Amino acid sequence: MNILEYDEVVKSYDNGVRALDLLSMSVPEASIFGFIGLNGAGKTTAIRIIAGLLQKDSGSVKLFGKKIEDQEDSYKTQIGFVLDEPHYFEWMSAQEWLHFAGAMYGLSRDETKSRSDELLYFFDLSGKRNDPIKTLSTGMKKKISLAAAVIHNPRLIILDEPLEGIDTLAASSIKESLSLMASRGTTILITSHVLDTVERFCSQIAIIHRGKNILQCATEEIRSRAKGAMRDSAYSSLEELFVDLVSDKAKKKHLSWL
Amino acid sequence: MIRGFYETADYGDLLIFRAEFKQFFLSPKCLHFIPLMMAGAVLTAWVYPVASPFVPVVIVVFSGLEPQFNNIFYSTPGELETLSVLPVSWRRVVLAKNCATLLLVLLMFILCSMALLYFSPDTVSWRYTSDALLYLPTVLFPALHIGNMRSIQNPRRRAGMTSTDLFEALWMILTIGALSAPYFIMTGLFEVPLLCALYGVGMAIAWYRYSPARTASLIAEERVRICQAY
Repeated sequence: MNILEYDEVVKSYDNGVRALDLLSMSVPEASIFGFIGLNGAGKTTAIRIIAGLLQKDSGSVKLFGKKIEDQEDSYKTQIGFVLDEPHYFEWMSAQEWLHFAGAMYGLSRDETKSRSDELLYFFDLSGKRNDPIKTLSTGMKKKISLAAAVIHNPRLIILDEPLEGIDTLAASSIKESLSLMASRGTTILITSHVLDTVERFCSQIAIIHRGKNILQCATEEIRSRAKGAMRDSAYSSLEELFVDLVSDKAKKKHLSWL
Repeated sequence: MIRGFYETADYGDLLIFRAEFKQFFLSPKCLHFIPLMMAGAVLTAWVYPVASPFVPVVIVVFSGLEPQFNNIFYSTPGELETLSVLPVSWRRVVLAKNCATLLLVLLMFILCSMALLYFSPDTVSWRYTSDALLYLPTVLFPALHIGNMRSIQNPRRRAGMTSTDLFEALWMILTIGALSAPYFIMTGLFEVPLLCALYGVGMAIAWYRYSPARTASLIAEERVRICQAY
């Protein structure tokens, strides 16, 4: 079953940029889904439509089998978001924000408090629990966003560049916990520019280019895909496949003095 | 009414209420009261005995708290976007925010009265105080509803010391002036102050029953448009 489906979604901005151009994509349940593309390819636009921050022009987006416009905001109780721009109140402390997010997701006071404590410990933020978020480092802020996104044990977690700015140790423990959540049935949609990580971590990938889904496949299929017209060799990595797919479509640039 | 809200308020409502209250004192917005109080002190010394010595208090409180009325979805930068990502009940968000504003008005009204009336050339009689207490609900609840509507029609992502904020503060004072008309009619024309109390209660009930629900339905429609303009 697909937990999230985009069907010919179009989104243009006021400046004429067509961010999504008949995007169709489906995310299977309990998968770790890598959503990759160049800067400006449309990944964030696609995610912000689900978050309710953007309105699509046409097409349909289904979450949990129902169109999002038919569900009001109720579907958000089953989703956790980490967006490209931070979404928290910077003047709050990490602990206050987790309590706030937990309460908004409908958790009881006791549940919210116990889960917040566990999350602060898990993300090594116990010592900073009372510091205002605005005084923390980028990595710590990212951890707080992530902690708030999983506090209600959602069915779907949407992560826009979640590992950017996070130290190696924290990134490793985050990936481990996300894998554990996926093994228990949580679906994870992740965008990242670190293709090595996507290839190792995700079970499915979709490559978006100029607002279109140009390839969707299981990660294990990448190395068996035939390369070039002669079809006599296969891709050695996701990065090689990605560059091959988007480089002939993107304008090649060079510096005149090099 | 308040008991009804308290009984049905859950942990989330109380956190929104607390956040709204706390952010005011943590943000530079509360510093707006420093120049306003200085102007208010001059006005208190000057206005008497033309009108009630509480007039400068009303002007200072409502212009200082203007963003709490007219910009409720951006009490902090990015607030609407942050709340949009969460599965919030917009009606309860508006109700909790309005209740926090009510408490802020009461608190600032007491503090500003204590500070400004010190500059009054004459003793402030009990009559003036009771008139002020009768007057406040007659403008407060309509101002909350007008502010809720204005928060959707004219949201400001950042409120601070800009010309727009100054214009909004002036607009607020004019609005409060216009909303004062029923009070002056009831006390000046009919000379029945009890009517003000009834009118105030009526306005409170009308606000509670109508305004948060209406604002919530409008923000549900307009939210994406406002967020997209970012």
